[in-house]
Amino acid sequence: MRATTATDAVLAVEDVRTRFHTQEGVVHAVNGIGFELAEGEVLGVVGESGSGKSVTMLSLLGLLPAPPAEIVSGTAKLEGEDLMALDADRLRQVRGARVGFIFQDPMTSLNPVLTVGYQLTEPLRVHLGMDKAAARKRAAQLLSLVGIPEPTRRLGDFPHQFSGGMRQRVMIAIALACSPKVLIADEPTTALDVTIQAQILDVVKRLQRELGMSIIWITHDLGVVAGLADRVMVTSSVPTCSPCTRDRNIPIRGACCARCRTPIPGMDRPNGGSRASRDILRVSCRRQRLVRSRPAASMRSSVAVAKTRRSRPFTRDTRWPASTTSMPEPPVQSDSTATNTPVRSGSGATAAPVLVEVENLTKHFPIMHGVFRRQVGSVRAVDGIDFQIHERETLGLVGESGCGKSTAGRVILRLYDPTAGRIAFRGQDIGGVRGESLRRLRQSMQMVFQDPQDSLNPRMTVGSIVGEPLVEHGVAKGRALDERVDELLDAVGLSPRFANRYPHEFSGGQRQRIGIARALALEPEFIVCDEPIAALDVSIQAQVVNLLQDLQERLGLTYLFISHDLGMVRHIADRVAVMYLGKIVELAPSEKLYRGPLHPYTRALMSAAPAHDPELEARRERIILTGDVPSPADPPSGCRFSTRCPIATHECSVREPEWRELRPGHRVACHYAGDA
Amino acid sequence: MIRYITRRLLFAVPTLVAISFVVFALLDLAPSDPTGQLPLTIPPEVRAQIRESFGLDDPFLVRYGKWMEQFFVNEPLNLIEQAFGVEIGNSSERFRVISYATRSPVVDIIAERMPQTLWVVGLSYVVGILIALPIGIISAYRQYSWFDQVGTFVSMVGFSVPTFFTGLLAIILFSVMLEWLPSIYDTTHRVTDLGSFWVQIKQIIMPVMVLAFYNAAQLSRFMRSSVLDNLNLDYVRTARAKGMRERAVLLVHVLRNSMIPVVTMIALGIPTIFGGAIITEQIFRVNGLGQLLIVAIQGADIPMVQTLTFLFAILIVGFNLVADVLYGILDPRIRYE
Repeated sequence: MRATTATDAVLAVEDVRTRFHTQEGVVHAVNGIGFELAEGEVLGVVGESGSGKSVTMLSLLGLLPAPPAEIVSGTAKLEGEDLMALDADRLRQVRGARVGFIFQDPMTSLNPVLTVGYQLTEPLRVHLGMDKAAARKRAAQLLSLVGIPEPTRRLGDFPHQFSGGMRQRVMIAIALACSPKVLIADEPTTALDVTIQAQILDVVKRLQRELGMSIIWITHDLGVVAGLADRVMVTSSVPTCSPCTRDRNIPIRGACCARCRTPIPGMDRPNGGSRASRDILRVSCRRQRLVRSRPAASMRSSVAVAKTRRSRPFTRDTRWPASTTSMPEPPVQSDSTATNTPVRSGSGATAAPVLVEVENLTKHFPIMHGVFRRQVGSVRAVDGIDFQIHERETLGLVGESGCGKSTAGRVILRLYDPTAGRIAFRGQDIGGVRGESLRRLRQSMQMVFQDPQDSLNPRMTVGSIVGEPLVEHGVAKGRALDERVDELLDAVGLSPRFANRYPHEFSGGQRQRIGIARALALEPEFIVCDEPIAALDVSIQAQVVNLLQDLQERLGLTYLFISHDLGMVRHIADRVAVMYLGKIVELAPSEKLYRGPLHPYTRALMSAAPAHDPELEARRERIILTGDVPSPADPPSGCRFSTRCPIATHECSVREPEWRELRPGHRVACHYAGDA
Repeated sequence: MIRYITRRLLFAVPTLVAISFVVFALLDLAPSDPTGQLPLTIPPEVRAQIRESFGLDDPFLVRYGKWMEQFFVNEPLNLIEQAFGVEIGNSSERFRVISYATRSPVVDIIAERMPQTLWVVGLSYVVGILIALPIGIISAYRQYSWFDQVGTFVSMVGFSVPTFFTGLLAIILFSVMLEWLPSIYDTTHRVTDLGSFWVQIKQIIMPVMVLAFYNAAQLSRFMRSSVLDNLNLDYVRTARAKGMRERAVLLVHVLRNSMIPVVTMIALGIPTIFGGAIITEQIFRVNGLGQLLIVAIQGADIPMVQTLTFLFAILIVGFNLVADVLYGILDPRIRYE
């Protein structure tokens, strides 16, 4: 363990206090944070959103908009020089030169109208006084340093011509341009897919080794920190945050680390002890204090969820799929899984009758081109998928962004018309159903959408949002309608008092509950959950998933659960289908899939999700996929995964693998599955 | 890009044909009489002969077809002949669009009036842009500062007070009371030396500024909100995190992005220059296109009104395309094909 005394600290931060002046009053975002960063050290900063982790770092370098932000106190000594005492221009000379920044969303943090080359040479010219030619040369070196092929040519490209992962590499190149002492990374992989996240983590690890800078890595994902950080600091609601020291090779234990896990309450306590429920309550109380206009429901709903959780607890194992074939299975975890989820063995579920069946389901979006807008090609969003969903079963559909999983969900609900293939609901073909009968069909099939912010009409009250399907389908009106709405709100853990409020008065988790209540209104049998938790805070995700499971048991629902979060899918789904570029590559009962994935893509996907346990994380081998997902408008020939597959042969690029049942209930599309 | 422009131009043809029909039909339906303003002593038979000589007794579709031929074939040919000094076919027998009022070709009159309008209204547009952009940028950058507050007040005034009021106010103030500037714009004035140039400046400054004030009020608000939209975006924070000077952050990063919608709006506004600021031209007695249109409407000079209206339609369609193309050039994310 490295010593971090004041003398060799590159950055020593003390007592930072920042507050925001908002219309609802003063919000104290940062209350006396202090930490030290040693030379060449990686400090992980963990905490849920709103805990002030980003605001602290932005405060140090004067990057917060003031007003509304006000820095009340604090010192930040970078190599002995107090940054927070510097005037604006001196501080500007520090930014980009001695401290580099990487931000969360690579899609928005680059200027869309300037070339990557221009944006990359800017700091070189300003801080190092390079001329144009020298800066360009250095910029090309930087791009190749972060692993961007053809760097010189790509300097002339605009950000939108890069994929998300590549943009984040550009961002890293910009941050490293002037060889800073400290690199501050603010959730740099949160917006990326797991396989791309693994690539970026790999790049950062390599660069840290090569260049030896100190890194502050802000994240809410403990798995990321486990593999990267030397020490971890946890920000939380309590006024001061204490950094806790640990070695890379010693597992996180003790009080500080229990705190680390508050985002998923009770994760390391399978019985959902009282301590964990207090944690949730504390979180909700703090939210109350921060923004006073919030309705007082979060307390109530939290209590409800805490109870729910006691009956069906989250275990650590179910949250983070640390186990792939390449690593040893921790015995305690497998035990807890076996005892907690006996139903999830898959055999019980498959006995039930089939509710939804798709065969060769295909959805192509046309690409128009030329003076007369002729169709010149098509985006093969969904390109022939087959599966069955049994009654009361949850089928998980996982894959990276752009793989067509959401499109598949929408086609099944007939929100899009299928290009080809058959969709059957209760044995009846619904692929060609139109007009009034389609409208009636919607009574039995509903959808929970990804972003509760966008999917609720901001000008409608919660009561009218939830009640609208009932009115539209003539199910209830007048007093009966009000009663049913109250009932629905109650079912999702919201108070019926809220029926007259508007969506913006609720938190993200509550809004998603409203979305679920709306989906439940017509008592559907089948619900497509399209990334229902992706837009939510980690601590809220668990509550919403628990609610969905609870409702499934009570109401006998069948789910198609679309997600990119492998851990969450493992927890909720009976069977899981893995999708890549419009095709399903593997489908198996959850436990079978997570214990023994057969398709190389599934393995890579699981390996890319960081393990929660640092010990495990340090030991295991990772499969890091190279490159990005190819365009669905022009998919590779043969096996679609062949361009990125670590075990691909010539045959893979020529012949498309058949969809075969390798083991009972375990289907896979790969020539070499089961060989290895 | 070229394919996109081609496609848009092809689409413009049916659009313009439809507009020409609507313009022609609307004016034809209007209850007006080209002989209405002639002295009452002229007997009805003579009036009927006049109408016949204008071809007014032909059926509607025949007149529309003839007008189409005049406008789309004869006039362009005539323009080409004048521009290159060549003769295509038998140009003396070609019918041109003739004004009822002056009996001379409409296009010639328009060409005569065009320079005044372009100078006065065009200059006011340019001046308006030059005033509006800096004000908009500073107002946004220093949001809620005294500069922004004053700017907001002034642009609200400029926006809500019509030019016939500000124009008259300026005339009363600078021409009547202070006697600094002439109240009438003299189109026959020729700039030959420094002295006459000074006279030109003095007579053009009032109409230009009155119109520029109005244009700038609108545009500066638009610029302000566009800059404000961009100031809070992530890439601005990135630029600051890179240690860029505020000047570069504002003038390189923010400005390039905020100009995209503003340039579009400026391009869409250009046809109004040709439309002439009808009211302002009337107040300052600038005999430009706006005034021409007013007089033509009053005198029931149908060919003149039809031609002017249709020319404006062409300009609007054209500058819509220009705006879209500019949008594509300024924003690399937009790809036309």
